[in-house]
Amino acid sequence: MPEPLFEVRHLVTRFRTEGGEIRPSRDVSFHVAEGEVLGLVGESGSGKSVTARASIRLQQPESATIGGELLFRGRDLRAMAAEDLRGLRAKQIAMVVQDPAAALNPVMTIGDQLTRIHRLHGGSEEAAREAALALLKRLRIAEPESRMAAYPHQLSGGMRQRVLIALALICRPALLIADEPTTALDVTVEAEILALLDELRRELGMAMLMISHNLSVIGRLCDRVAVMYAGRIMEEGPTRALLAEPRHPYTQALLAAVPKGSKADGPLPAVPGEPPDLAHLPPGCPFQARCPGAAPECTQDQPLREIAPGRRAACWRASA
Amino acid sequence: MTAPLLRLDGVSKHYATRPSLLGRVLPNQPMVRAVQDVSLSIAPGEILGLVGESGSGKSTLGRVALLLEPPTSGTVAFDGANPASDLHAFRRRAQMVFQDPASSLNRSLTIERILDSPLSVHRFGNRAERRVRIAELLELVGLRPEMARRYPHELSGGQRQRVGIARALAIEPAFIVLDEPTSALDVSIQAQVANLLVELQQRLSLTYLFISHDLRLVRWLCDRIAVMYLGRIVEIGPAETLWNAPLHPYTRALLNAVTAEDLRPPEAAGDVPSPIRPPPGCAFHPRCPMAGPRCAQHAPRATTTTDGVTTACHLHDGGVA
Repeated sequence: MPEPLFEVRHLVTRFRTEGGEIRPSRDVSFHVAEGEVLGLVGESGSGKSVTARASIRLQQPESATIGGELLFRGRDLRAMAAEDLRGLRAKQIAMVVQDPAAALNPVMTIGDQLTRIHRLHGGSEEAAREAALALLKRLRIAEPESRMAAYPHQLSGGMRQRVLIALALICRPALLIADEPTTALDVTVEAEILALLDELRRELGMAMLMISHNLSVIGRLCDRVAVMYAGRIMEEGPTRALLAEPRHPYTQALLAAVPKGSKADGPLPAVPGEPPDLAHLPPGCPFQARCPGAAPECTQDQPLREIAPGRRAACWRASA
Repeated sequence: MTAPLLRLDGVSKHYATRPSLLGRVLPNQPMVRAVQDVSLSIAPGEILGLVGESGSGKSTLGRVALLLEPPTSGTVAFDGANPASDLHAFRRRAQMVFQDPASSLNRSLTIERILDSPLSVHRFGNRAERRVRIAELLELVGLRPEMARRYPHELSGGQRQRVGIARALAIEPAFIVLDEPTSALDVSIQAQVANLLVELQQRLSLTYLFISHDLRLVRWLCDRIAVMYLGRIVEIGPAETLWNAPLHPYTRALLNAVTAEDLRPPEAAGDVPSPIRPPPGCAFHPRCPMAGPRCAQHAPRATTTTDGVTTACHLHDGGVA
């Protein structure tokens, strides 16, 4: 196997909350190959966003990360000087967040925000403007010249998200981290943004780490997917195979809970109970209290293990 | 056919974009046409789903149906009468469940006090009787009795929404408007709450107006579905018919966006326009893959098929050319 572009090994993060200490990422390992799209899917509190941010040392406070290696092209981000890290994040790793209204500068025009980044990388005013215009056109933004003079609040949500993607892509990163990039958008607009993201990543040969709670979004965009629950990866594998034949009881329950037919077919197969309190996790599998197949074995630690080529699951029962 | 429980006739709701004094005296100020000429009825015991994207006016329509806001024009009839003539009596029979239980529950009150409030307002029994009723309500929505002493922040999102439902049920209403009641919840919890809503509806013979942007959930839960776009209902009909054979291109685009398993190009181009300046003719025409010259000029009339689906689209009313 060629060396992955980005590899996270045994990441552990820790926060202190009112309810006690919690660990949003508990021994999380994954890798993203050049040009590959890895999805990180999970419900609220699963730790997916903290994990993604901590994986590129964006977590605040940074001391929350207490263990693990973050290898980008073989170099450990955790061992890197702050200045080198900034350089790397500016040129090779970019991020798109859920809420473009909060991520864009409200008092700068779209054009100024786009050209500023380009100029920070040493381009001339003229070249920066041309590059920005070309990118807005590429993102199918109508009337790009007049949009350059617009402020973020003058654009629709879908338009703002496209501008944010433009900002992230302007220096052609090797890795794009997208945290719920379409969650704030309407479904018909979401479809368009997803199609666009897919086109662009193919064009640029860019790898992506896509964080989402939405299995359908993950299913459409990702090559591989890792399912998180209570700070752990429960299952990982090629998207199509994993969604068609989930092996971990949590993934199975999650997929089954999505409404399919009508209520005439009977109640929805809901997952009983609630996600566990992260400050007071039981020993062993965090899903055991809600799992239909729970057994005494589940109180033992469940490491993520290979159950078939390319497929891993953290359940002693799971098999190919 | 049974007489409808709720009936809206030509209901519109417009808001001033500048609700200031100056805005009111200036002529020709832009209006947000949140709801535009909507007529529909809901039969007793029926669940009508109302779907649409942001700016479609679905939440506004829900609030107008409960007269939480008066319509700008048109009429709301409840049980054959005008509910505005006795709002207090209407509130006893028509209630609302909100999307975000965290912000719709008073955080400084215990669950018991929250559930007691509608009971006292509507003079339900004495203190002891109200306490019994609160215990009943908690059981009804699947919460343990000791939850009564807790505060909203001590509950999970799913539990808080159960309290929101219990509060709406407190005074035994006949009709409930549910505005995105599961949208803030995770999928695994959403399914629990959806099951509870159906169970309660059947047990208590309730009538729901279920507002959601989630078409799969609406299909699962509702008997009929109404699709809104920029303030108007573009299609309304039996849930399964509409799901399997949508007539309006917008309904089709919405369905395809939800059920897509690959990255096929979307059928609705661009973003939803502003409801301040909805496009002329059919409001969907700038995004519609089927649009023709007529669509930009004339607003389509509603036509009804033999399957009981009503749609407002030129394709089904003489063509787009």
